[in-house]
Amino acid sequence: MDAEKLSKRLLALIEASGIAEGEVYVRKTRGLEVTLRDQDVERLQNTDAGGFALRLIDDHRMGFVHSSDLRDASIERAVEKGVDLARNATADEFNSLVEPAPAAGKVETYDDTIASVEYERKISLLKDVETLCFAYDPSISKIADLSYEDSEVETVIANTKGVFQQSSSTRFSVGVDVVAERDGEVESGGERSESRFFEDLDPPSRLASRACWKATSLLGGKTLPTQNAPVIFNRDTGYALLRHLFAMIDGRNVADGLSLLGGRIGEQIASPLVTVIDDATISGAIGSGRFDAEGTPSGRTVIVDGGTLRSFLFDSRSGRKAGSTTTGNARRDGFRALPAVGYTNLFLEGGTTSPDEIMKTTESGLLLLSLAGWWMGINASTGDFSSGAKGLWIEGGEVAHPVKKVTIASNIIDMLGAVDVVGDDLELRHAASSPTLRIGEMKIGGV
Amino acid sequence: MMKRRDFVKLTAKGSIIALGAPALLDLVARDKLAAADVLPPELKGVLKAALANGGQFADVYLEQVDRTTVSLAGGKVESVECGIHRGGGVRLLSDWKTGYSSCDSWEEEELKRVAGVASQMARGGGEPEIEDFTRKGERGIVAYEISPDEIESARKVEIATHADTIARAYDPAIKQVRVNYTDEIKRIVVANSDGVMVTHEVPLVWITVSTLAQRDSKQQSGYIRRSAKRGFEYAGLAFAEEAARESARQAVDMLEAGEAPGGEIPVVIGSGGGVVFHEAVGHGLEADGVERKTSFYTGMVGTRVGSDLISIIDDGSIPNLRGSFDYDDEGTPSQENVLIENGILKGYIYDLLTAWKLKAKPTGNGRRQSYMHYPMVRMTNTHLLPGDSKPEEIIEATPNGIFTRHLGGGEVDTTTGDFTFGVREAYLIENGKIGAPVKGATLIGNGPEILKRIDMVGDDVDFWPGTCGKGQWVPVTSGAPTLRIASITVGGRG
Repeated sequence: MDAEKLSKRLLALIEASGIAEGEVYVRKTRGLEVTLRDQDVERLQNTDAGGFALRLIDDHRMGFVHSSDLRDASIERAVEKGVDLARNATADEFNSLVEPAPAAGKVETYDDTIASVEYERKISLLKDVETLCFAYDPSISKIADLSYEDSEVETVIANTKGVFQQSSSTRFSVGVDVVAERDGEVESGGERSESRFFEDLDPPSRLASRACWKATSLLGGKTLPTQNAPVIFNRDTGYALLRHLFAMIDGRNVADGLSLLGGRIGEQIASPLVTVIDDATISGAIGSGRFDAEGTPSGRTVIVDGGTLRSFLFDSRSGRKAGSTTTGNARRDGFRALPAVGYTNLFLEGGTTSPDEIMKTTESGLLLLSLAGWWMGINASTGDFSSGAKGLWIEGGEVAHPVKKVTIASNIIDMLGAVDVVGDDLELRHAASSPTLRIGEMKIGGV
Repeated sequence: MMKRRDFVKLTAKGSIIALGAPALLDLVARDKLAAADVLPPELKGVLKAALANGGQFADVYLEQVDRTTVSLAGGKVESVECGIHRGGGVRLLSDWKTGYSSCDSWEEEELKRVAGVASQMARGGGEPEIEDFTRKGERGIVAYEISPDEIESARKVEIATHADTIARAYDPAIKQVRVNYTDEIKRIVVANSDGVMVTHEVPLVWITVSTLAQRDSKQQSGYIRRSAKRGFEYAGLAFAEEAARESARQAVDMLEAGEAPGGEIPVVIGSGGGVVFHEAVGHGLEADGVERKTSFYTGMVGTRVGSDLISIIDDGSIPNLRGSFDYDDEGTPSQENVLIENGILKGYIYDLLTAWKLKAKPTGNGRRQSYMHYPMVRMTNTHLLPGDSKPEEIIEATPNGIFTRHLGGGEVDTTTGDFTFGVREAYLIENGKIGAPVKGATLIGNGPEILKRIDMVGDDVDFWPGTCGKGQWVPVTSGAPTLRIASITVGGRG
C-alpha cells in the first residue's frame, strides 16, 4: 500500500461526492515483537497492517468511517458509507476540520537504521538482560516476561481545506518483569525502556538492575498503621499524578464542563514548585511529532507555570467548543479511533534537589515504588486519587523497612498544592514523565 | 436502500468483477460462510506454507468485523462511525515456539506470504502433513435475531439520543451526559493443521452512559455499561433507558457522599461484584502463568485455596453473555470449567499451546483481540456460584463496615496475588443497616487470602460486562452474588 497514493485517491473521491468537508487519515504500520525465554526466542510476531479513516462533515453532521479493506470497490463504498452516515447524523456546530498552517520545524522521530539493525542484535540485547537479571541476586527466581518490540509507522493526513501532512516515525522498546522470592515470600518488579532511536534504548545493565532492585527491595515488606504522612513519588510513580492531572486539562472534559479546573485559568492551583509542560517538538522524545492527528502543527504548551494554571490541551473540536483554539493535541489510537485530546510529552519540570537529598530531609514518610489501580479513580470532575501502594518507609531520612498492603488517598488538587520539594532527576523516558517529588501529606490506609 | 446482506448475495452470485476480483474466500465470508466447502483447498495451501520449514502445528485465523458506533455528548451526536475490518493471521508452532504474522487481507497470496513469515520460526524441513478438515457447525450460544448491520444508522442515533434524554430527565442535578453505543458482527474462520475447521458469527452490542451530577459546589459522576453477545433485538430503547437511569441515579445518589473510611474493615460486596474473582483468582488460574510457574496457584490443584463457600466457574458457553462464543479463536468449543469447588482448586483454563505443554485438555479459552494478535489464555464469563444467604441477611449480620453497590475496574499482580480494585458506589453499614454514601474507596488485598476471608455468600448472582486487558483486550463478564469479606484493607480518606 502506498499511503500517499491512497490518500490522494480518497481525497478525490470525497471531493467528487459533493460533501462539504472531508478528511483522510492513512496509517501504515510494520512491527516486530520478540519474546525471549531461557536464552531462546519463544515467540516472534510480525505485523504488517494499515488502513484509513475518513471524517466527512456535512452541515456540521459528521460521519466517520474506517477500514482496512483497500480494494478499489471497497474504498469507493467506504466514501459512500461515510457520506450516508454524515447525512443521517444530527448536527453539532463544533464539528469542522482544521485549516492548513505552516508545519513546525524539524522534529526527529525516525530512525533510518530500523531496517538495518540486525535481528541478532535485538536478540542478544534480550539475552543480556536475562543473564544480568539472574546474576543480580539469588532471590531473583523467574522472569515473567522479557520482550523486544520495534515498529515503523507512516501517516498521511489530508483534508479538503488543503491540509496535507505526511510523516514517518519509529519506536523501539524493551521490557522485563522479574520475580524475586525469599523465605516463601514473592515480589515482582519490572522496567521498560522506549525510544524513537534504537541507540537510545537503555543498556541491558540498567534494565536488569532497575527491575531487580524494585522486586528485591520490596521483599520483607509490611503494612503500616493508618495515618497521614508525607509521600515521595519517584520517577516510576510520579507519572500517575500527571495522568490524573491530564484528565482535568483534557480539553474535551473542559469543554463539556466535566473538569474541576474548568474556568480557572490564571488561578494558583498547585504549589509554586509545580510547572507542567506538554511539548511535542522535542527531537527523539517518544511523544514527539511534527503535527498532530488532525494535521495541526505541533507545539509546546505551558499548562501550569509555577503553580498557576495557564492552559488546557485541545484538539480542534474541543478548542472550538471551549471558545479557545487547538493546541495541536489531537491524538488517535490507530486509524480506527476518532481523534481525541491526548498529551505528547507531558512532564513536570525538574527542580534542584537530588532524590537522595529529598529522602534525607524526610523525617518519616513513604517512598512509593509501585502503584496498583491508580488509574481506576481517574475522574476529572472530583479529582479524587486513591491507589494501592508499595514502597519503602523512611524514618529519620533513611530507609527503615519495605511497605506493602497499604493504600494512599488524597485529591489531585490537594496533592499538587502540597508538593514541597521537586527533584533534579527528570528524564523524558516515557510520554508522561515526572522527577522525584514529595507531597507533604497524604492519607495512608493500612491497619 | 438495499440491505447489506442482500447486496452481498448479489455480488456473490453475479457482479464479481465490479468488486475488483476479490478472493473466493471473501465472497464465502460475506455470504454468511454458507459455502464453506470451497474453503479447504485454499486454506490447506496456506497451512502448508506455514509448515514449509517444519514445525508441529499451524493455524490460520480469518476475521471480518463490521462495527457501528454512535457517540453523543452535551446532547449532540458527535459522530456516527462505521468500521470494516478484515484480515488474517497465521501461526506456526515449532518446538513450543510461536511464529505469528498477519495481514489486512483474505487473499490467498497474501495469506501465503504471511505464512512464509511465520514459518521462519522453524528450522527444519520436510513435507508438511495437513489433516482433512472437519468443519464444526454453529452451536447457537450467541445466536441472534436481527443483524445490526441491517439496521439504518438513524435508529442507532435514536437509541443514543434517548439515553441522553432519559438521563437528563432523571434529576435537575444531571448536568452532563455522554453516551456511546456500539454494535458489531464479527465473522471468523479458523482452520488448523490437525483438521479443525470452524466458521463462526459473533454479534455484540454495547452501550455506556456517563453522567455528571452537580448540586451546590458538589459534583459526582455516574457510569454504567451494558453489553451482550446479541443482535439488534437487544438494543432497543428500553435497554438504553435502563442504563441511562441507573447512571443518573448513581451520580445523584453519590452527591452527598462523605469520605470512605481507611483501614481494615468488613466489606459487603453487592451482587454483580464478580470483578473481585476475575482479578483476585481468575488471572492466576490462566495456564500461561502456571506453565511459566509465575502464578501463585502453580501446582496447587487439589489443595484448599478458599473457604467452603467458594466455588468459581469460568464458562464461555452461557447463552449470549458478553464473554460467550460457540468456539474460541482457536476453534475449541466453549465449555463450563470448574476452577474452584467448595474451596478446593480443581483446575486451570487453557488455550491449545498451554494445554499441550501441560498435558491437559484445551478448555476453550484461547482468545485474541483481533487477527493482528496471537491467541492467549483468557477468561470468558467468570463467576462465583451462589450461596444460601439472603442479601439483606448479610447486611443485617454486619454491625459495621462498607457496602459496595458498584465496583470499578481492578488489577492484579498474578505473581504475588496482590490486587486492587476501585469502588464507584459505596455506603457505610451501621448497626446492620445501609447508611450514608461514601466515595473514594479503593480495596486492596491478596487473592489467596481474600478467598479464605469470605464468610457469607448470597443467593443473588448478577453478571456485569467488562473488557479485560492482558496486552490484548477481550470482552468478558464477571458474576457474583452479594458476599461478605470479613476484613479487607479499604483505602479512603475518612
